[in-house]
Amino acid sequence: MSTLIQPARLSRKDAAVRQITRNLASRPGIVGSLLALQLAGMLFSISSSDDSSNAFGNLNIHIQNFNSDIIIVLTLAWAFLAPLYLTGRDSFESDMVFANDRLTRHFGNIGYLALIVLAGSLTAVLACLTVLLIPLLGSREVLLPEFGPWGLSGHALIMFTVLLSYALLAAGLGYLIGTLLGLSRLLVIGLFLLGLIFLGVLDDTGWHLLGRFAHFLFGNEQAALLLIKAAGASAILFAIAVISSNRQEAGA
Amino acid sequence: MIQLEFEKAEKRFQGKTALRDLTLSLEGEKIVGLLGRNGAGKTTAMKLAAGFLKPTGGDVRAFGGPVFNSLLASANTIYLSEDTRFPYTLTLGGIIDELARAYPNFDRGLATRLMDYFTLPSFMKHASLSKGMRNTFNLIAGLTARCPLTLLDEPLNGMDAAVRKDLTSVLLKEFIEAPRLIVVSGHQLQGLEDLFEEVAIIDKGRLLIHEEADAFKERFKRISGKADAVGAATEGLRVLSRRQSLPGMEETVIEMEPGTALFAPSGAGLTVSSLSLNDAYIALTGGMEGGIDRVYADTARKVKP
Amino acid sequence: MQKEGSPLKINPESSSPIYRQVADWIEEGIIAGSFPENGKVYSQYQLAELYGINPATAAKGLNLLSEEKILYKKRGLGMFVAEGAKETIMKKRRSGTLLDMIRETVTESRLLGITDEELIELIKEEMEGME
Repeated sequence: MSTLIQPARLSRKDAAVRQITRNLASRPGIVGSLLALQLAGMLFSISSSDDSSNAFGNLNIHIQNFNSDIIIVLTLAWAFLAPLYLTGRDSFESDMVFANDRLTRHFGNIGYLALIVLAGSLTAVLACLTVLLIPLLGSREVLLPEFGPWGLSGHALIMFTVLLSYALLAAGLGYLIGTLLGLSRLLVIGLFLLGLIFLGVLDDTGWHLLGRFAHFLFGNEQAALLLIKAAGASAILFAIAVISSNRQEAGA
Repeated sequence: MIQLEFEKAEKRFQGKTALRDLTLSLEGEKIVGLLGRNGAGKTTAMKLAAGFLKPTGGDVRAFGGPVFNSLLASANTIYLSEDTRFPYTLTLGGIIDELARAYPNFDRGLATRLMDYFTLPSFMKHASLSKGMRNTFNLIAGLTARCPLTLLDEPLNGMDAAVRKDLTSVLLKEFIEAPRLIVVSGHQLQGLEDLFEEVAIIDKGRLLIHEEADAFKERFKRISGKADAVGAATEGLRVLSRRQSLPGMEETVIEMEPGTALFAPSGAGLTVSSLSLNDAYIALTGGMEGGIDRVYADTARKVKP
Repeated sequence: MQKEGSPLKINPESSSPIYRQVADWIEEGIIAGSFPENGKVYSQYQLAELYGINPATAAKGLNLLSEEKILYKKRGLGMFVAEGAKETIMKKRRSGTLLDMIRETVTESRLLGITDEELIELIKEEMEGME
């Protein structure tokens, strides 16, 4: 008639994987907003292209400047904002209803973020290329800009690597700030002020230090090197977030 | 065997102590009523047991270790209250899917049928439910998840009488079907009281009583009759309340020590009756002697507070 | 002593505990012949669902009857009505329940100022009326 319930064992890995699936299923707004932003960026790029025509006799040169930077900017903004939502109090509390500890939740979230940032960077590059190649759809002959030694695909690959690097950094920063905000709003404001004071006290040297750091990160000849450094830096940001919130309380 | 243990558990929030020195051990498959007035610390105790909160002192243990931030405890515990926040983008059906993924014993077929019975459409969003509907859904989810440790915080709030009665049956049937440790907290318990095997009463952040429900209930008696006879019969006993009924007649509620029997002199015209669990609990935790009548009487007589 | 309310309802304010009320109900079932000798009575779970009470409380009622040799346990099969259970119950009730009721009646009639002769007369009348 009745069956005694035995305690279920659950591995950390399974719990983290479930957190990823749950994020995919229950937070469609994150992926949805990315697609909406990139689509909006594309439309904006196309509509805001400036034309200039020059006619030399019977030769008509039509230069159309497609600026797809807006897609990149929107994607980066999204990479920063999405983790803010993911780490918010509401998200945390609803995550804790299910079988999770704080670590598996973080691992699941970070895995999920890495996944969507990767996909988001890829779609961003595709969106940029699409905007770039739209003129090709016309019947007239088109002269494309110079893409460097590896041609269009090489250009795209470099673009993807650089974007992914910045997006990972943005996501790491967003995740850390979001987590700290979840712990205490005061803490974040305090840290921000402290940072400003620190930079102010050090005056030129402070900004110089920041500049050196930025140079270390971004002053690379090689895109691959940038990706490695950015991934490392964002890993540090994620780690700080995980460690600082290992004692976070739900429903307090 | 499942065991939930509070050992000198204390929980302070900035400047406010919600729970002080709670020592309570719940063991085995049973339904336990965690009772207390509003603000007594029930919800804090439940959230500590759920591993949502970290005790500021003492220990809260289950499944072989402290429950706070334990994956094993989380995988085997479900805590549901009116404030439980499911992802608000999910429909009820989506929440059921997620619960089924999270808890291996979750009975999805039963959950779906119960949702149909209580007219909870699976396409609805959790946030758009009324208070009573939300609690109905939460209780169904909490019970069909079939976790060894099931924590239900004020589960019947905001429901109409018919639904309350049906859900009481669901609770009992679920317990019989899959015995586990079910802790139900509340300050009003009509309808649930017969289901409790044990009661634990918290008052001002401390454990007041932890006793078998039957034994607890039997320790409270209402004695009525002629005032002097009642007075004589209750002399030396712990009187919780005393009030005049008819002129010259009195009704008194007494609490007896565990293991003692009441000796009522026969022929003295005394009527002795038991209290319902709820009345006994109110008598025990109610305010000062005389209750609200006293407040009005004192006000009328202009007694300085 | 299931005087008040429907037989399948616990009276929370009765002076007899819930498990006693359950036991009384089974006793009445045995007297009425609903549970014949050597027949199976309801399990603690069936009783729990019938009454809407905790199974442990129902089990307590059953155990009470098994201590009084009214029921006996068959391992893994449940509780059964003992031989001679009906007589045991009737004897017990005659000496216990019935005496209590008589005591109550006497107390009540003295409160009302009814003399002992009048009370006996009343009882006789009632008995004749039932025949």
